Amino acid sequence: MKTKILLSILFLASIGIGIGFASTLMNQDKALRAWPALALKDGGPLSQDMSQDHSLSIRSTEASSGKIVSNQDPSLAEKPKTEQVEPVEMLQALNGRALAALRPGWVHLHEEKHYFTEAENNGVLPNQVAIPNDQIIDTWFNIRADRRILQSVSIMRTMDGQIVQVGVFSNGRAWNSATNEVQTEEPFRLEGFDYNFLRELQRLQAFGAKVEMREQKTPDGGEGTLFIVRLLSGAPEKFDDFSRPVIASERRGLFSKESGYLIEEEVIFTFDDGSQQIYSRVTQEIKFEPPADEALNYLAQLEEKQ
Amino acid sequence: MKKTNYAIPIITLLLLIAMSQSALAASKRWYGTVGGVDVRAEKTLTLGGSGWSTYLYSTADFPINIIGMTYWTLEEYCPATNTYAYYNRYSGAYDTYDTYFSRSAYVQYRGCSGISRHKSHGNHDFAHGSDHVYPYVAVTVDR
Repeated sequence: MKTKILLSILFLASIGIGIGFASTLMNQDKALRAWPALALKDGGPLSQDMSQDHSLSIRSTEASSGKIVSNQDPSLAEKPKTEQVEPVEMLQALNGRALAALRPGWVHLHEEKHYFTEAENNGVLPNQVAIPNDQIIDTWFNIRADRRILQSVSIMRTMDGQIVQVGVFSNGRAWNSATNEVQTEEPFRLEGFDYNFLRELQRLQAFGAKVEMREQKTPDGGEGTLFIVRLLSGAPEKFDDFSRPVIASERRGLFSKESGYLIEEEVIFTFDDGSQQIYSRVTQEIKFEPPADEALNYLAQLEEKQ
Repeated sequence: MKKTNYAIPIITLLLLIAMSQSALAASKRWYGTVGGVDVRAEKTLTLGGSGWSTYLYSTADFPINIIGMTYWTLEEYCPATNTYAYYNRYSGAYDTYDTYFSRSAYVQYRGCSGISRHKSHGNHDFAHGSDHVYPYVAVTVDR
């Protein structure tokens, strides 16, 4: 009898977990149905539900050091939380807007990345080229109607234009200049131009991260939404590239409400002595334009490789 | 007496638990024998809040001549762009006449457009008597 009761509980628990998984998977469609007006250029529920705040809240830093000059952000503390729209739903809607503008053909993603660590670089590739702390990455995606990538070329450079590595993908075959190996890979599917922000936010929420969002102008004066994800480490995290353990992190992502793209992301670490430092900063621009000749040449080279 | 088949819900539950666990951590093991001594090679990879940790273990049931690794590579690969956001290769190291060798690394996330693929891989190193084996073990977790 006890066994039957136990098995019944297990059965019910499995149904519950199954429903939970299914609910998670269906969340994106649900959010897009809940906010159809986000597909419109203006006047969507974001502008109706969220009060305006045009203060610049991404913190100023000393040039190229990442050290925070002013860690005061009074407007953040005073800002009431938006209760009408959940951050995950908002991000799903922004990604939905970005994807709605996609058409089959070429998209150019331009990124600038800066890492502020005690290490000289982000490691050394097999061809002995170091991955620099300051990078410019130009990627061209040739996208199919189902948003899967048919071809892509990605070129990472140093700030003075030296090529660090090139990644090429075409018809299920991928090549990287650092390994010089051709591998078979499934075509990647674009889920937005959010620099993986939504997926990371959902993952960090499982760690107990708190999420806040607010209105903020983008650098070009457009309407934007700033997401702030704060996470207290369960235990201090001691990384090889920092002498002090990290006890908290804050991830800030600024999105354009018009395009749905992430414009800028910063990750700020708090160390065990209470000091704070910007760890990384990424900016990105997206344009619908064909690849440069240099990129097309790399594609042609992949076609020639066995 | 009517029998109820509980196998399907139990298997479903176990699979779901395994799926939920695999999103945060993974480990891979290799079992073998060198010079008549049972040995194991294992790597683990865990996603944390701000970074990832990975461990390498080489173990033996009894002390063996050489126990260690020939190399160990840590990667954060960006499948969308086929580029590496992070790449670090540690050269070989070993202990002699021992049963245990381990290494660990804690790496902060770099980030990709699209998912990041974290990978810890490389050959372990076991030698005893005239036997010498270099099992390759790789563990990968997407973020």
